[in-house]
Amino acid sequence: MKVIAVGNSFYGDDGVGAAVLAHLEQADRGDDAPAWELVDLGTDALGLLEHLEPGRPHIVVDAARMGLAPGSVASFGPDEVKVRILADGLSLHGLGLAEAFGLATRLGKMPAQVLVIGVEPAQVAAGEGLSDAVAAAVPRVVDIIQAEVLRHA
Amino acid sequence: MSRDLGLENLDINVKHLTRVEGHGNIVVDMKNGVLHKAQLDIVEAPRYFEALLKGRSFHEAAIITSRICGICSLGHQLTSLKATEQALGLAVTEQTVLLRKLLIHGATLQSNVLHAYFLAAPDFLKVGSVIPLVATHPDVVLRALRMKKLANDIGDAVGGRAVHPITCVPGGFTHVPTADTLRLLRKKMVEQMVPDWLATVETMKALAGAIPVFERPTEYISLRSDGDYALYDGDICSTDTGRVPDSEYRRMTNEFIVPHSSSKHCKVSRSSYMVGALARWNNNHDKLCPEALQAAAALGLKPGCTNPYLNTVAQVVEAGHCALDAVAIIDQLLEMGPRYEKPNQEPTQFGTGIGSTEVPRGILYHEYTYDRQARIVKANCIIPTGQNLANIDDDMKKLVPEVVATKSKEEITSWLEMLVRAYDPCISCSVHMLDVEFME
Repeated sequence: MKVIAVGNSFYGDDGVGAAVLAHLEQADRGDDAPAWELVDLGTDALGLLEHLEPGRPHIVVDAARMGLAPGSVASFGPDEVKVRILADGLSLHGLGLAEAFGLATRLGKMPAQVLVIGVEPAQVAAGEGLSDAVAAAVPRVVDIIQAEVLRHA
Repeated sequence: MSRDLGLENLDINVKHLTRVEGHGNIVVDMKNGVLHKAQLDIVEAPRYFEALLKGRSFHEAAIITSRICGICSLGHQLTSLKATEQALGLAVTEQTVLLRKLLIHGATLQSNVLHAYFLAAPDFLKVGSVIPLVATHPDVVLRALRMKKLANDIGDAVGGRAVHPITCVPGGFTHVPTADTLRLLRKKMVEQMVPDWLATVETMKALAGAIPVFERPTEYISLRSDGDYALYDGDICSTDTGRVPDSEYRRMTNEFIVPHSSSKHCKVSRSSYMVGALARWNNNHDKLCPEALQAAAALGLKPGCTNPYLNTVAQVVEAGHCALDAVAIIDQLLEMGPRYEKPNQEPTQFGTGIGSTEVPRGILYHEYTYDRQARIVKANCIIPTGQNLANIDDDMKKLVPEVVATKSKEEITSWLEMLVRAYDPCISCSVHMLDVEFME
């Protein structure tokens, strides 16, 4: 299992992925726990293309604007949702996960099993630290990931 | 197309509002043939990082600034390190400088290549984004991704990891790549990167006919050094006024506030100036390697170029120099024999330091003042995009009246978007969350 976090921990709830990874790194796991690989993609969302390995299950954790209450957690496959293309088209800075998924699919590099765990943000603005609602969601995301890892073992 | 399109009145308002603050809107307002407004509105996140740096130790500054943005992380990191080292009097070794130059080549290569393929090529081929190109030009897209990956490999080998390098610290490196790692990297650069770059030049040549013809002389500012093609270090050099040391960076940026942008604008000798690959080309073409100069000749890029759309061509030319000079630097490192050196982290003074580096979009400046505990009391950071904003506005003000009689509103809009894209502005460095809609 490969767990990939996307986002910027200096931009409020966009740092939820990094917070989840930090929890996973400190998780008390037994010696015989199934192996996982944790990847912090930071803000290089396009770099996802280099990390997707067909044939291996992946979990991608990111803040996602889904129209739900702040702190809500939803898991979905990239094909179950319409990911809006968000790039403003004016700069490389706009390229993100939507383009990475689009390119991976078109290039046949999309693994069969990709689970996206989205956390609805409360605030996305310059600043360190998560909002209370999103901080409370972190352990729930960790539980989902632990269960998925066991399910795939 | 002619005046009967009714273009004496032109009202363009391209909104790029998506998730958060930090996106540019193009606004043009022309009434009865008189241009009232042609500008790029910028709503940028405030200068949060300058505030965030206050009170931080010299170990933290580069780590924090490197997280400003995934695209420019290395540039911020190295510029930050240079500012810190100057302020604290930390000398670095020749090996450190070479490794940093290697890192800059990787980052510049990556950004230039992605810009040419992911932003410029879709324009030239008249498709909305890079995604349709997978079906029509799969080899080109795969080449772009291969080059991105290999440029990342430089970061991995030297920086420990590509995006937010961790081995690069004040005073040196915590880890130095082995000779074997460098040899492998060299092999990939020679056998893969250079041929891919040559193919990129051919692709650019095939697309060059779609580059708008537009000239507007302006002041071009970049670093310049007596030695190499200046990316890591140099004096500030203007095509109007010549060279000054980077201690004069405030005079050479001269920030001012405009109503339509929360990002400050800059001017020096004229109402605006340009930084970035084209400015570097105009100031430093004589320092490029012969292969890059051949590519420039093949692509019709000439010294004294005043067409901002050719910034993309300058990036492609520069990418070749970065690839080939990276090989030369690796050879130099191998000859010296890479060895671990303890980073020099014993301050010899506590004061103010300035770091200036050429990052892909132009000169980046960091200035820090440290107290006697080696904590930052004041930070200033001037990014390339802020310096280019006034120049983009001036380009638009000249371009619109020139084309209004002969082009449709859609064509003008497209040219304006291409113009902004040519600068690849850093208008949303920050947030990368998904925006999804559940299907019924």
